[in-house]
Amino acid sequence: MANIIEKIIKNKINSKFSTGDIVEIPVDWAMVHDGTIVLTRKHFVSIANKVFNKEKIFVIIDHLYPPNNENTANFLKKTRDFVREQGITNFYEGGEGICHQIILENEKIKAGDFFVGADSHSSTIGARYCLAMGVGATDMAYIFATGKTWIRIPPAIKVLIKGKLTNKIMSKDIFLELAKLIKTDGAIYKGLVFETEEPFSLDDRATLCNMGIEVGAKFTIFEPYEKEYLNLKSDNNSDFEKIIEIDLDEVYPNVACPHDIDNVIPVSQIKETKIDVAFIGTCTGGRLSNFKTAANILKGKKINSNVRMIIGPASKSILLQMIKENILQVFIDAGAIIIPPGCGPCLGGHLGVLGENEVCISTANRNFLGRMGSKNSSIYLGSAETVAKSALAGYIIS
Amino acid sequence: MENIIKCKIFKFEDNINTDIIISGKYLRTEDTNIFKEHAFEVLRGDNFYKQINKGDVIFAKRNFGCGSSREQAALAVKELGVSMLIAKSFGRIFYRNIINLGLPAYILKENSQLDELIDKIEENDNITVFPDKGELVIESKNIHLEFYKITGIAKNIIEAGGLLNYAKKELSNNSM
Repeated sequence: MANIIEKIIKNKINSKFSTGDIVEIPVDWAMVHDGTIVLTRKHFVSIANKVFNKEKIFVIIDHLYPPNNENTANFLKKTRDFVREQGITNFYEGGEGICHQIILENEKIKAGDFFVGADSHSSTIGARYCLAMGVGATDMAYIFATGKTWIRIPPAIKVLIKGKLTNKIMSKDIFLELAKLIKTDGAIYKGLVFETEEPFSLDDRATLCNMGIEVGAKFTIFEPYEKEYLNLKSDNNSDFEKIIEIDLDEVYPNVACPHDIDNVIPVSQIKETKIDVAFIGTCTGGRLSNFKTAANILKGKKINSNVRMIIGPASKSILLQMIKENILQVFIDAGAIIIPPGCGPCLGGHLGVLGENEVCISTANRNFLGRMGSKNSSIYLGSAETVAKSALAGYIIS
Repeated sequence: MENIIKCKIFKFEDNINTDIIISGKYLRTEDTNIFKEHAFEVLRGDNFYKQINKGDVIFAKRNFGCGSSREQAALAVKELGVSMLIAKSFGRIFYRNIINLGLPAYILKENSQLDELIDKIEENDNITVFPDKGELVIESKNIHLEFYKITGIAKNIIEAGGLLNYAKKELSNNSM
């Protein structure tokens, strides 16, 4: 009786294992972005000359592009040189999109693959039934050199989502509900497995898998619905340390208040909170369905005159689709600005850094102290619907 | 000879995330001094590194190092010169990063009074750590705590002085 995480690991290694064992495991895909390649490259060249497989590595420029200063530009040059020297085939220049979205859209990556990314939100591809984990630069340098890593077989928690996802809430609200329930360390060192009664869209699965790290999870993955992937689905009576049930009838639009992701209250209960910036974007909430929802709210309206609104599509293909469906026009008419596909202001590097005492409502995944700029600024996290409605009102509302 | 560490504690609360340890704006450099100089800046102000003496211990509550995979956070802590970290729990990517840099991170064993005892521990308390026994003592407060010893591959990595040294050995053995 194996759960989905154990099944995928079993397909990758020959030895038997139990929960808690440390096993060596080959890596199907390794990914770095312009942020984490800086130290990965530095460490890699100290231990090896050639990467283990130039076709199995993704290098994606998304965090700081176009470069915000000379220093960033120089590191980007080094990144491109490294890609050329090594002959790495999966290279994405800035503007193609956020690494996790590019991975999600990539057809070479298959259900059941073991994916390691030098970014904590690498579990996003759990939405396509891959086992994925985030690591730091030294771990990634070792993977670049050897094509393998080691993992401890984690105990797993199942999150069983009951009921239908209607337009009352969005998948972001469900994750915030989970964070409220189990706290930021609720799944630390553990696997997190989502199962739903009704099939969720890829976008919704991606939002939930993306945020697993925010409750500490090592892996976050969805149970498959599609016939061709049912062989990966957890066996009946397979081992879960805990099963958490979330009834969608009882979930309402949520907001995570500063400065922790588990500081969650229903939007209806928040005291009047004026906002300066409304941001829809990122690897959590910058997908087509998020923008469609927001555009329906903003259509024919103007955002509040005290609010700046930033729209950051998670990938070029999403941006193109937004153009095609006239969604971009809605945002521009409403008074928002569009930034290039990429991480945008999420991590405080550029394109919307927050100043003293500024307040931002965002579809991103982190509201940490000072993350988007000033240590006296505040970040609230909500769904695209909550962000769009708040942009109109000038304060947080759903 | 038994390994005993005597030094001072720097104490941190729950959920100290990697953005707090080193802000996103300082990441684009290979100069590890930058990480040290700006470590914990949003929480402890400028020049926190000047308060730390070589060998001091970071002592934290739950989920220390949660958040991003940025290894600069682990490097910042290492460059501060601390000898080890002790916490109720660590963010798992940060934990791996710390071990990979060759620095021990110890997880406290649960006991019914753990939270109460941790609350009594203060910054600058003197601590004596017995890594081989998995025990620590804060004499002035009469506090004795146990932690999990580091075993298996993590132990081998720390003994090698970090994952890169460990890898060099492994890769040269393979090529022989």
